[in-house]
Amino acid sequence: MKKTSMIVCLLLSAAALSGAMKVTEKDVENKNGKFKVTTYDLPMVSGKLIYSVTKKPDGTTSNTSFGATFGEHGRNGGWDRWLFFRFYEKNKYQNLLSRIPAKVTYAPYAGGIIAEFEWALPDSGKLKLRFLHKKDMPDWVFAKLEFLNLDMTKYDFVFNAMPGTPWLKKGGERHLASRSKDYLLRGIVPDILPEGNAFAFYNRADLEEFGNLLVYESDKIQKAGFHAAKGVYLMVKPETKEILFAFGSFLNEPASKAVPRFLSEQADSVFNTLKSLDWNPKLDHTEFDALARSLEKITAEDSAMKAEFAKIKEEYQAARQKEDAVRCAELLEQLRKLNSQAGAKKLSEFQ
Amino acid sequence: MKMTLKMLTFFCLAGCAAGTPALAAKVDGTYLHEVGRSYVTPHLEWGGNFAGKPLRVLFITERLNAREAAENAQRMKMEFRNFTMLNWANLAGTDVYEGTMTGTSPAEKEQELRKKLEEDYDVIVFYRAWFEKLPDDLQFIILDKLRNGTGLVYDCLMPIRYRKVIADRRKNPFSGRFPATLQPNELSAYQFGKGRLLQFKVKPLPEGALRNAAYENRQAFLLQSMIWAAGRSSGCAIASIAEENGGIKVKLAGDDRGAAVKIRIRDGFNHVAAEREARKDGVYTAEIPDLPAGDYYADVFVMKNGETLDFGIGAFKISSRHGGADLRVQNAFIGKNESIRGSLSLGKAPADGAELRLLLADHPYGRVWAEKKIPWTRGARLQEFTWSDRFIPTIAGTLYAELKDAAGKVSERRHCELFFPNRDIPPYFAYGWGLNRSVSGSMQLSETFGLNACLTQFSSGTAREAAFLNQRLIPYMLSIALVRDNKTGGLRFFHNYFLPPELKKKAKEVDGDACFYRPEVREIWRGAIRHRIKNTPPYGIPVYSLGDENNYNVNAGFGPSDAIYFREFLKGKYRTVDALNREWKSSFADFSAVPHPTLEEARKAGNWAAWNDHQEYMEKMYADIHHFCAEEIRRIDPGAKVGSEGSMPGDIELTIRDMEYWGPYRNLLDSEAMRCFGGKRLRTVWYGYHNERGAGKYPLLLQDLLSGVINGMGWFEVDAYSTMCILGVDNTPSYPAGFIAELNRMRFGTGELLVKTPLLSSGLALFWSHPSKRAAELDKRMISPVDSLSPLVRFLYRRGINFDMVSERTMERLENGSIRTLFLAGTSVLGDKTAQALIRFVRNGGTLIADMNCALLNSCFSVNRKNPLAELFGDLTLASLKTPEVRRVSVTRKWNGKMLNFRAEKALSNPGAEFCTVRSCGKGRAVLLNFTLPMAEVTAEDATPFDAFLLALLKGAGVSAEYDVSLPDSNGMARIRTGKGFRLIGAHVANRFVAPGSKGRIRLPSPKHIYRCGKGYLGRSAEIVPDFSASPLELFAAFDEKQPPLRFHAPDSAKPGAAVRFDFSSMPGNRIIHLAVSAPDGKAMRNRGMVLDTAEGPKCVFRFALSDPAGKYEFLVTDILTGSMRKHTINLEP
Repeated sequence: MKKTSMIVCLLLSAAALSGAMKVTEKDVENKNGKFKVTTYDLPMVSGKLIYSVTKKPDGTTSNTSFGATFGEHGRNGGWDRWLFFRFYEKNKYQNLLSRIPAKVTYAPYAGGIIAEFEWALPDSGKLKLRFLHKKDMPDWVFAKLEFLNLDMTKYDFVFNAMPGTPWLKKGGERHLASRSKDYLLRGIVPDILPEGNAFAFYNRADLEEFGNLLVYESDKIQKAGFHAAKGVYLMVKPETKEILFAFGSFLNEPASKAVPRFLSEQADSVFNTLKSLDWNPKLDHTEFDALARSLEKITAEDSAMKAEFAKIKEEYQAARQKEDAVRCAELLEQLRKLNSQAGAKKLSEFQ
Repeated sequence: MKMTLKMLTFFCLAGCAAGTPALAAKVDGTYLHEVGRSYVTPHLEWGGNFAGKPLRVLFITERLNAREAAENAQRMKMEFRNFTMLNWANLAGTDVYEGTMTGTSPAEKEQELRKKLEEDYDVIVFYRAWFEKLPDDLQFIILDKLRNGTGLVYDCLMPIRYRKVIADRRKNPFSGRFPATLQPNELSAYQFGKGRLLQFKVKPLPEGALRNAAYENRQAFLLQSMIWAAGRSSGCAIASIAEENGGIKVKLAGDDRGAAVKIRIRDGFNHVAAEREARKDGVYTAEIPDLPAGDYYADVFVMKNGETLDFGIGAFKISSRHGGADLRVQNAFIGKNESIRGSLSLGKAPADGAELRLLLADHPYGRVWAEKKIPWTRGARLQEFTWSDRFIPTIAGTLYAELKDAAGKVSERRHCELFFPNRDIPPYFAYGWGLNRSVSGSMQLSETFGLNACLTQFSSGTAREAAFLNQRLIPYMLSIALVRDNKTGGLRFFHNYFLPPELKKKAKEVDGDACFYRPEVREIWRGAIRHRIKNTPPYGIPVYSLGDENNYNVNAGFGPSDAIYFREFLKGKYRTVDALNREWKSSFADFSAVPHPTLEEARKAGNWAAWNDHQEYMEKMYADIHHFCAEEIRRIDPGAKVGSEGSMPGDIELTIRDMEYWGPYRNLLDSEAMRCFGGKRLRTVWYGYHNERGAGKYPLLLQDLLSGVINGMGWFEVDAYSTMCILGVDNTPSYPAGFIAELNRMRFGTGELLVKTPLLSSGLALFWSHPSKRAAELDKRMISPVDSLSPLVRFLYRRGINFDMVSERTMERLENGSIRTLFLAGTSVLGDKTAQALIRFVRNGGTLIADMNCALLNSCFSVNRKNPLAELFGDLTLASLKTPEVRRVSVTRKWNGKMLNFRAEKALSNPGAEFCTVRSCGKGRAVLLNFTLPMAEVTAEDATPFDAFLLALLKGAGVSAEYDVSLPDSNGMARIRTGKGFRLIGAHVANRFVAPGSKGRIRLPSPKHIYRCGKGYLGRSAEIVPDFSASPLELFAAFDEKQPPLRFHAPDSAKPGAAVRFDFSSMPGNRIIHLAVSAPDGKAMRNRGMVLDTAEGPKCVFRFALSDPAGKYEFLVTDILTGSMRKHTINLEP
């Protein structure tokens, strides 16, 4: 109970802070009873993460689901928008996270957005999944999955993709391509060789022009396989404490062109970026200060804008002193907007 | 516990904050943003000593022309900052390539410009960057600066349109200094507040020999535009420049006390013909010297106390003294052994004793290489000439024809552009992606990287444009993409950008049923080739590319026309319907009754033969389109070499059959197949991108040259707009010196040595079965060849065991005795004839090793009821086999008198099957491992290492690791080559193993004299210690005898234009020799260096240009194999 309240409090507070995360609550009644469904929309630079928690009247969690819509195709396929990340006991098919609510944090920053999920698992283990989506690389979402106090010989996990749509028409095939091999994802494929830090998910015989691209640290993977009841599952090596991923996609291009290009040309670039990311972005006031200097001059003769500018500066100074990064990010965004408005207004002087 | 806001914040982002993460994560993008002055290009002096303080300039350009800032700064005293936009209409981009670099994001670019605009400038200059595409606030800042006195020079297609800014138009301030012909288009000058604005559009430059003078004129104008916009005034300025009565007359305005006027006269080719000081006589006048007829420029400088107060250009003409002169050549395209034939005709005959002098100068350098003097036929108005035996090292050159009188004075000069097509592909061939259109960029590519060919999208004028830059065009002719139409199931005519309008219409008509075998579709492809190739072959195309990322889809090809042509294909394959019925398990009366099932239908019906046949049909179509287009190209350009790059291989043997070039993306097995089946074709792989940037990176191509999969380098890319350009925006190299040094190590002889020295045959071959790859999709009992081949190849690499490949099409390779052991990996599909040949191979003494489950299907994909290799491996059939499962492997087998032991925790295997069975057959043996290699490789027990098992297995089969290799990188590579009288031993490790103290060990079968290639003698030893402290590639030559040092003869002196012979007759005929040369000023002349293979002749000729400066030229001559070096000096006498 306490835990739930804490989570709710966190999430709501995060919503209040960011102003961008949307939280909706809905009462649902069905033959199994009454439930409260709380859905958290976490907008990323493009697309979003969608997390929902279904609770019974007594407050216990009956179900959670976690979906992703970045790299949307314009259809309802792509990275799974209902069950994107799933965590299993090895050789079992029940998503362990479906009954475990997550702690969710959401933090826009100057360069993009960070969203983090944390699950407390039985036996005091924890799972942390942090997403980082950068504005200057909007086509890729980066993620770090951490295993805290977990015996990873017991678990595997899935980042699910359904390129095109969840259901292909008759004859359609799901495929996974690695650098050297192509796998038909049907039934059980016990051994998918984790190699070359890249997998491409695509279709044959239906919706061939959509696909999802995964970059990951293949040297940390003990085993990969496919099971129709699970998806493409990954099992990390026992000593692995964390593993990095990048999620991308392609659309409106034949897979026969997009997949080889990704595997041969692009994957290494993304992997290099992934490997050297700083997952804890540092507070950086450079852009705010530079914009502020510019706005000093631009707003000098406009009393309304000058006042708004002064307010933002004052609040930023306060947030800066407190090292309140989220607030700083919000105020930077406000300053950018003001700068844009001021620039347009001042330019009109020359018309 | 209640979470306070503060705690929440801390919790939310513990250690994390709002800012820009990952600046350290990105590749350093400085080369995309900053223009430096280090790369000095040929230029004339204009305002190096301009009076007053240096102009403070901010250049805002697109990446493509950022170099202009450096060109301006070379010519006039200035301090500058520069800002590059992605392109003329976009500040920045966010794709994966841009996102990897520092400073390229929209936010970073805005920040960069905002910061730069905080400084004060005298003038802000826009070169083809669209002002209105800047953020509004930055536009305001710039216009506000203009209003307050900073000048603005704006050269762009899209003018500045703010009404108040352009309200006060002023008259053209340059009328006195530049004639209208030398001014840009649409010039307009404005006053806005305290500032001056100048808008214009620069004119395109002429091609060929006239380009440099026009470019110099443009530069002078741009500099003056900055001076004017900055409001600089020296108090004494040029009012007018005119040519009158054989003199240049200059009027000055303002206070000219103490001023002097100097005049530099240039001809239309930018050669300085004379320099004069004008005398003052009311106006300033300088005599025009006696110069040949033609166009000239008078560069006028107003000087005072050694400083330049002003400069300008006057243009004038010197008329022909012979009533006109006309140079004609019979053909502008001069083949290798062809003569230049032409004539110079005059309006009237010259006086007796005249002479026609021909000069040949190259592009883009302007070096004069050859001269011919022909006495003028007495009394004639026309003098013909035939010029054979002349040398020029570039593709394009200028022929100058001069008339000299008896006193030696040149009175007439005409020129024309000639082309010297060169289609030769050197043994090690490097080319880039894209055409770098700047002269300085192309010169850098050639000099620093040896990149003189470019694969690019093109138009009918590109080959010519590239020729002037000394770049040989590899035209990207079209794209071959067999894409499925979702409505019809047939083929789209997917790419049509390469079609002329009338064919685009036709392509639309067939779209959805664009089966290649339809005559009307073939006509479209034919028309595409004819349209694209226009104007291109004469320039000498080394190779044509039929596309980048060509691809096909096996689920396509089910259109209405495919039904017809699929049957044609079946007829060709099966010959009789009975044969088809046997494989399809059908009973069709004739081929017309045979349906065209989809892959899904065929598979569901269990008709694997039909399932495979359609895929073969598509692969054949894919290959046939390539071959058809190649043939069409050869019809138009006989002898053309054709291929494709970055493309799906399909059935690689079939695809490359009638092509001479294949340049795919890197892939372990496909690259090896390219090596083994590609033969002498041009084989390259794409390098570059971002993967090779950053500290501690070395060129990937070193590994591929060592393995032998390539004989050339494709570099992505050389286009100046791109983050992946090998040059920075100022045309300096964007890679560090160490990386470039490794590329040049290959360029200057080592590449050729590796390409030409064949790999030592170990007697081992791997069976390449393309159909077996797809058979694995049908049933889990059919293993993919990729499974075992990949770890096997990696093993062979790190152990230094070479291998060949054999396929069903190349079974004759088993017949000459060179192959003793053949490995069948996942060879589920096997033709009957091939099976018989394999049995013969074993009976004759060969060893056949298979991983699992071979020959379950025949070549038509019918299930074998009896295994054709039963004699060798037992009667393995699908009926008898169960689904493979993961098992623990345990091998204990007597093998050639020794115990062969191997244990691994896991491998894919047939349930219950015995591991590693051996059968004798005739004189040979067949080994069936009954497990695949991938899991076995990584789960092998420490006591029975994977490598030891395979080494023992192969040794027992007659394939020894002759050289015992141990490298610090478990995925490293060693390759042994055999030359005439030597072995070439190479070892390569991954970048992260390049470090001090990183060493390997290679034990030779017996002691040899060892040389580190390119470096020198190491001694006599049976052991080599590769040292990877400075490079991932170590190369050694091993000889029975100690080798004599490098010996050659060459003269000590020469005259300009001389062809100097270096004679290596006393060297063995198996050497690659590199001649590196430095100019008298000490600068390396990299692209004047030469690589000689003494096997092709013991002499090489180094040519001095007629225009080479006199002085001592230092040659460093190296025998690449032994590293023996000698210096030699040739004194070039004036």
